Amino acid sequence: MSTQFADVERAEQVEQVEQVEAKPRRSANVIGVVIVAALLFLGAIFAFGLANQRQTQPRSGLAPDFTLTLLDGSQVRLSDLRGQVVVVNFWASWCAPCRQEAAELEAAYQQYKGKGVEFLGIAYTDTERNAKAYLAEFGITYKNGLDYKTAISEQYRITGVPETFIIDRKGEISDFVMVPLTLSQLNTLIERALAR
Amino acid sequence: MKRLIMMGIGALAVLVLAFALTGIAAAQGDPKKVSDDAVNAVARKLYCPVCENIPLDVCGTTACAQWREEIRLQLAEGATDQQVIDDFVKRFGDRVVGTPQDPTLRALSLAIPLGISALSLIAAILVFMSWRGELVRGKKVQPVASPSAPATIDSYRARIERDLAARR
Amino acid sequence: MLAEVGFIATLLAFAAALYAIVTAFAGTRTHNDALIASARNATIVAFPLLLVACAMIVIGLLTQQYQMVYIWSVSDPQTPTFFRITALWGSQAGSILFWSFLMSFFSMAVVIINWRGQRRLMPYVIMYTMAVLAFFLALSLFFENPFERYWILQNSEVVKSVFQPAGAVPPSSIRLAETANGLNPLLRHFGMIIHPPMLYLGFVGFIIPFAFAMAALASGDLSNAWIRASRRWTLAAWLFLSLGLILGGRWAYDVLGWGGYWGWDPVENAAFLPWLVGTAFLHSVMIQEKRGMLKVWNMFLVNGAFSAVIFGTFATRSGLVDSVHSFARSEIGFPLFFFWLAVTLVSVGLVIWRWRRGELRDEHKFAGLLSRESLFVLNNVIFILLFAVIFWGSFGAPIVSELFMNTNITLGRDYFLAVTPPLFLILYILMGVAPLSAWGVMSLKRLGRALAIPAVLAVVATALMALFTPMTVGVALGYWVVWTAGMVAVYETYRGVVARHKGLGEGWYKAFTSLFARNRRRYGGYVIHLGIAIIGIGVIGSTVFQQETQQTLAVGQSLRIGDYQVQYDNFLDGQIADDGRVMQIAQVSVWRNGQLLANLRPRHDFYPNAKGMNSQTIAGAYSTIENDVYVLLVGWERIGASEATFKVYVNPLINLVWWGGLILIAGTLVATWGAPLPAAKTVPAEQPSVKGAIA
Repeated sequence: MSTQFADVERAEQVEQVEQVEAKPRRSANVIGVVIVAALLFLGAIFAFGLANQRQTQPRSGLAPDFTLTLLDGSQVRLSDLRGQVVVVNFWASWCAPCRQEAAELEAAYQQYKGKGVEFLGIAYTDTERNAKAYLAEFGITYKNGLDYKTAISEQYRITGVPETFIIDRKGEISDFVMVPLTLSQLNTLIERALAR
Repeated sequence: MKRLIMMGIGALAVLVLAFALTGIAAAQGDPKKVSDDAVNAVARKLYCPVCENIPLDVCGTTACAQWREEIRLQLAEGATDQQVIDDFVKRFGDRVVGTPQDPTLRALSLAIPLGISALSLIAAILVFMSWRGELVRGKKVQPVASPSAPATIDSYRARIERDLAARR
Repeated sequence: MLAEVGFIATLLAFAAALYAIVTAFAGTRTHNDALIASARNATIVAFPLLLVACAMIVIGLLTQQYQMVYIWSVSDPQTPTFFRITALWGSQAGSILFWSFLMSFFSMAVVIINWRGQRRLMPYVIMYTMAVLAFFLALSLFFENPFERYWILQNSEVVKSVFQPAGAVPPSSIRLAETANGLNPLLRHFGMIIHPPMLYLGFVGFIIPFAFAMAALASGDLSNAWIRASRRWTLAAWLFLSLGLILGGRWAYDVLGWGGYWGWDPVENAAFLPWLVGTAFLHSVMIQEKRGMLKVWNMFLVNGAFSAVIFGTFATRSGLVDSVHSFARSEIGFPLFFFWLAVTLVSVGLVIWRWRRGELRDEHKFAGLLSRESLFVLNNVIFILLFAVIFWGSFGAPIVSELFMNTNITLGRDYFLAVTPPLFLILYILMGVAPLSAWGVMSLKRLGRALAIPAVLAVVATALMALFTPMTVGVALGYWVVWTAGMVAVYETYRGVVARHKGLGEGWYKAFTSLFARNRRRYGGYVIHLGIAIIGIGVIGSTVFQQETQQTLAVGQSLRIGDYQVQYDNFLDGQIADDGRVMQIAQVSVWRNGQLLANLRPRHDFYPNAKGMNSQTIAGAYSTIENDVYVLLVGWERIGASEATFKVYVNPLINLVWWGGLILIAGTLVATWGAPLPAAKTVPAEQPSVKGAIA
């Protein structure tokens, strides 16, 4: 008789111990899944973030389309200029090297005016006042506009100014230059784009 | 249970009070003295758009000097501080301010920390409740000792000593 | 020659690390002591090899071997000797090698010091430390090699390689010396000597508790052995990290010229995150030692601290976010990312595995709401919240917004100063209350009674401060909370000394010293808390009550700020220092109520030969306990006798931040030093008597 009770007591204890033992396993599983999922999610974000940071300027393929608001208020869309060669130049009034190439760019513009080559100047992180003063100083007449919210600069992933993209008649990037350009260099690049 | 709820409300009150008081403290501003100071007051809230994480009032580049001049000119034209900041954000994007200007973005940037705070507090409360559970309910669940706990080792040691003593 | 020797030494160290991992693993599987001893030797030998490797770079720096690419990029003929040596960690490649060197030093020390006491854990400790070392050496060998040299090939192309390519000649050493880069001017400060090494020691130091924890999980010895073994290592790492952070702040204050010491820059925050997790760990580990609770949580914490260290290294060196501390973008971003992911997943996996097997069970399950356990849990929650909030602000929001919302949010000072003060306030409250609470149960009444005197003393202190500086209720409350935390530490020490003096009849001095000697952990901890409280007072003062003004003055004119008058006395132009920099020095005097307080010499340095960043502004400061009057020459405006622009800050109580830091160091040394080491001697087992032998 006593053994029966002892057995029942023992079974109850074992059951209790088993119940207590089951609890860590369940919470461990749940928390484990949550943590691993969170880590993989974080990892994906960092991986994408890192990959994003390492992207550089586009050097080929279709040029990213954008709408530039010019200093006189009107707007120009890059894709509307297809059929012409477009020289897209990123500059800033506070940028010393840009001043070197300002006159050369204007000269090249005058040279190719009406021959199917368009020049677009994009002022990077600049103000109306300073941009207009800079343009007046160098007598620049081609279309220029401010890059609001640096949207266009981010599309082209520029890392500084001046940077110039030559876009051919099909809308594809023909050349990308990171240094101030001279007139003869511009001639070479534009001829190359016209020939494509 | 009721005591627990009271304690929880008390803790929440302390938390809210802490947030509120520090908010009051942070609202103390700098007195506007001269033109340079007025410019700096706005520039302090902005970051240099082309440098890496430098506030606009201490940035030394030509570009930053130009932008500070722009702030001076806009202030002279009668713009308020907020108008100048909004203009800069329109021009240079969100990265130029320390807190996002767009109300939804601002809410989002605070939502995550608040969300994590709430989750952590719930987790902590659950832990406290499980700890108090045993005290309040009085019934002791048999604590199953881990294999390497000192108590277990001691009991093993005692048994070994007894066995050894028996063998001698 | 230097480059070849250094490269071979690094390669051998890499091989030794791999060898140690393999033999330690084989030794544990086959229970072969000889293999384990061999692994230990390999671990020890990695240190002198890396010492040689680093020495080669330092010798190259001192003897100006500009053919080595790294030396060319961080020094030039005008660099002073002092900064030449510190250029070892001046840029990416050298600093990674230096990191590995420090890691090999810690690994060697741990296998020598802890070998006898932790026989069961040590093979696994070797495996984990050597695995991390091998990874960083692989980074040095395959990605950022500091031993590459410039060569000119026959076709006039310039290449970088350690060994001489066929038919190549070294470039002209004169040309190399002329074009050498030189150290970034910002790094030419006394802080450069000590801030990076301290930080690296702190980061690298956390590998030891991590390795012990992983060893406990891998070996199955889940008693408190791993905690006891790693306790002083954790304290040492924590001390170095704290020092590194405080020194970084001091350096920023001295050199960067924005009157502050913490910019909430992502890289600064990346170094702060492991500190937060480490401090949480230091506290919650006490619960496991005293009551056997929170075993799983402690495992997650210590692994989290190390994961935060690796993440910080990854974020800093990969260009993940914009920061003033950015290294040049390099190829090690993805390797570091995968290493961080692997380390974190493996450690989490091990913890979950042991947890599922029921081997990390709590030994006690009950504690009152105001007991020390509960307060420590709350303390941990707040630290983790700080971690999450700072992580989100520095890394989460910028990256997520750029990826998903097509806009680039920065969360700057305003965000951090809005979100963290409430959390810090709660931490200070806990710092005052928890030392007075008891393990197990504590009643509100007892707690209140114990808190009474420190709280009243704090009210007196706050009232005194309010007499001198008008403040709002909110700020006064903040000061009061921080003062209370400090007063609790002082008052508890006082009570202990009084108890010894009255109860044991010891003299005051003897009572004081033996109180500390007998309970280093507790009273060292009180000193650390006092240091943190003093830092808190300094931080509140210098953040809330900072005054600044900027004005252009001609010689003879003065400006007013607060109670002070700053007068422009004289201008010295074209002063040339020994390292070739050109200094423009303004002599100013600081007055208050018509009395001359100090003569300061803020100056503007120009480095004619430096590429890129070539000027720096050094402030003149008049420092007292009350405040700092900090005068800067604004470098980008005209500087001359007829006009110079000055920016003046008055930073109240800022020197308490540095003094508090010193007290913190003292407290940590007290807490770490001289505690009895675990048993290192073995005693022969009892001989069985012949009579009792079983047939």
